[in-house]
Amino acid sequence: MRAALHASGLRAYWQRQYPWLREPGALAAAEAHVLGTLATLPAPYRAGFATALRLLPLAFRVAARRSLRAASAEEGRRGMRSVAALPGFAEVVRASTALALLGALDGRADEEERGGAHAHR
Amino acid sequence: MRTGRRGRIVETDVVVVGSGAGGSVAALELAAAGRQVTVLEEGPRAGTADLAAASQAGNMRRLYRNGGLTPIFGTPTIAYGEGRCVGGTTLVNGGLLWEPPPHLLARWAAQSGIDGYRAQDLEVHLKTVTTRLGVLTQRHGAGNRDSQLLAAGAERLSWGWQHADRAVRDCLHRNRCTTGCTSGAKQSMTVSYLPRAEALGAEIRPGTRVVRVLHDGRTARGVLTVGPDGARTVYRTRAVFLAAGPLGTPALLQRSRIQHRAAGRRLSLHVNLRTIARFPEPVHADRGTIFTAQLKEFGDQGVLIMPANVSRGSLAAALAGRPAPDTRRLLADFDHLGVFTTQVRLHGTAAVRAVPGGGLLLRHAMTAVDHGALCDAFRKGAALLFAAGATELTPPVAAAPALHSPADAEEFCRRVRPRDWELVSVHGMASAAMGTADRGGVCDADGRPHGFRGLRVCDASVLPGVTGISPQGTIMAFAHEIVSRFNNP
Repeated sequence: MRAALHASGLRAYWQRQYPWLREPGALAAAEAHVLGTLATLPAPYRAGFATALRLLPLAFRVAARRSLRAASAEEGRRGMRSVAALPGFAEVVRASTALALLGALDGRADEEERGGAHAHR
Repeated sequence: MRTGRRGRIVETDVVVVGSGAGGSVAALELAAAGRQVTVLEEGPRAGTADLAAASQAGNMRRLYRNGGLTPIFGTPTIAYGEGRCVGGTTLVNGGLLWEPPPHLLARWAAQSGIDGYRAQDLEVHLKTVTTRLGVLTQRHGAGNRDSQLLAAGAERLSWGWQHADRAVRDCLHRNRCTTGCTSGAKQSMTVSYLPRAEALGAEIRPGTRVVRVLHDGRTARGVLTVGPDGARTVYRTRAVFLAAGPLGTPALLQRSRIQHRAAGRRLSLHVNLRTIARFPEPVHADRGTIFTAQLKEFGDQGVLIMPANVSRGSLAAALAGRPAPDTRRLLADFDHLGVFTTQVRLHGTAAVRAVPGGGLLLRHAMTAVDHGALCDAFRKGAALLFAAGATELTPPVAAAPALHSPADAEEFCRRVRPRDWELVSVHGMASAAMGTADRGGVCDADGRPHGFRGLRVCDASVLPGVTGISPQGTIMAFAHEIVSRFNNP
């Protein structure tokens, strides 16, 4: 899964979009949370997720006519809007990004006191 | 313990599958009746110190099924969250404990054809639960400004609201309810029922997944498990209590070929709409407990509105579908934001299917009526928050613009499509519902799957319908009654 995430180009995309993911240690915490969560999924979901991640650069190139890694922040956003029209990609990009942001902002011990709950029960 | 064809064999009096609100009641009441009880829990065990030492994201990964990433497919896909740990969802919920309204129980009795679970039948059990867990009405404290604003907005509209009834002792308002209370104040099963059960001799086996219930076609004889070391063990028992949750219990029944066509066909859900509100004054929504005020004006319509505690990470994650500049702008104003949950009772149901490899496939069939109900609930929430003084609302639709007035909210409701909603659910129920067979029930009045002996279901899945309120109190009351019938046939 780590290889699929690295191949997806999402890490570079996140760093361009979100300043918090540029802080030292934040990207590592984000990646750890993404990979740690995906590791808890049943095998069929994991396989589907990994496939979508690996296909993301191609989907982005087809939809946006740019490389995801080379795209500027604005090009990345516009391209992702187009990619979201392809079945399954919107969910995978949104879920991965949500996990990355949660990991970066709430995934380190020094973030403990900021506190927070994730849903009402 | 000895070794047989299927692996190790353990003889025990009663096995309880799952350690959440239902399983813990079974464990304690059975142990108190002098039975040898073994509790099998798929997830890990985490004490208060463990919860405090880990990050919130780390606890999400460790304590939630699929790290909180369980999809219910349909239009739209709904994110479903439930605990997968010793204590089950009680370890990661808000500790809310409401008693089921008498009219709801009477309606369930009429619809299911099952009697014995009306208000007067459950009263003694609810009193036991309330006493054991120290349930109290939580007033506003120094934090929870978001709750105070909600209450003020409700009063301006002359709408009814109430404080939260919670199972907590000396809450320190650490704002970590849903990733595990770090002070031990919340009376999850991990710090209440389960230690009592252990003191009476019950054994808890974390990291033990039940593969299927073993039976001869009419009587359950035990369960087959896979332990943390990957080894298979057969537990031979006189009785099995199933409390693996609204997803796990029907999946286990399906894998065991017990009521496998009916189990899991109708999972009832509450769904949550998450609305971010900006206020002119600082709110500090990350200070305080989960919430201290809830709008109850529309409770009879299945709509409740309350604040959610929030962290920077959870807020950013909730905004992941939006353009990054929106997320940056909102997080820059974090102290002025509140996040409010509008809980809606769905009319359409979902289906749970066990798939090879231990996985689950969930699919919902949200109806046009549900979409209308979501719009109506959002409209009510928007009116409440603007009355509370909010100057901007971010609705739970990634493509929607910020809303600055009730007229904007009305326009949003006119334009939103069913597939646009970003929905979360943390309450599943009735997936192996109690009811007579001719009315589609899976279990009888004793919690036994129809036609089976030696097996009882005692968790959220056995409830006859959807509660409309946080279901922990109802689940525990039903579990008490089911175990009481077993102990006193």
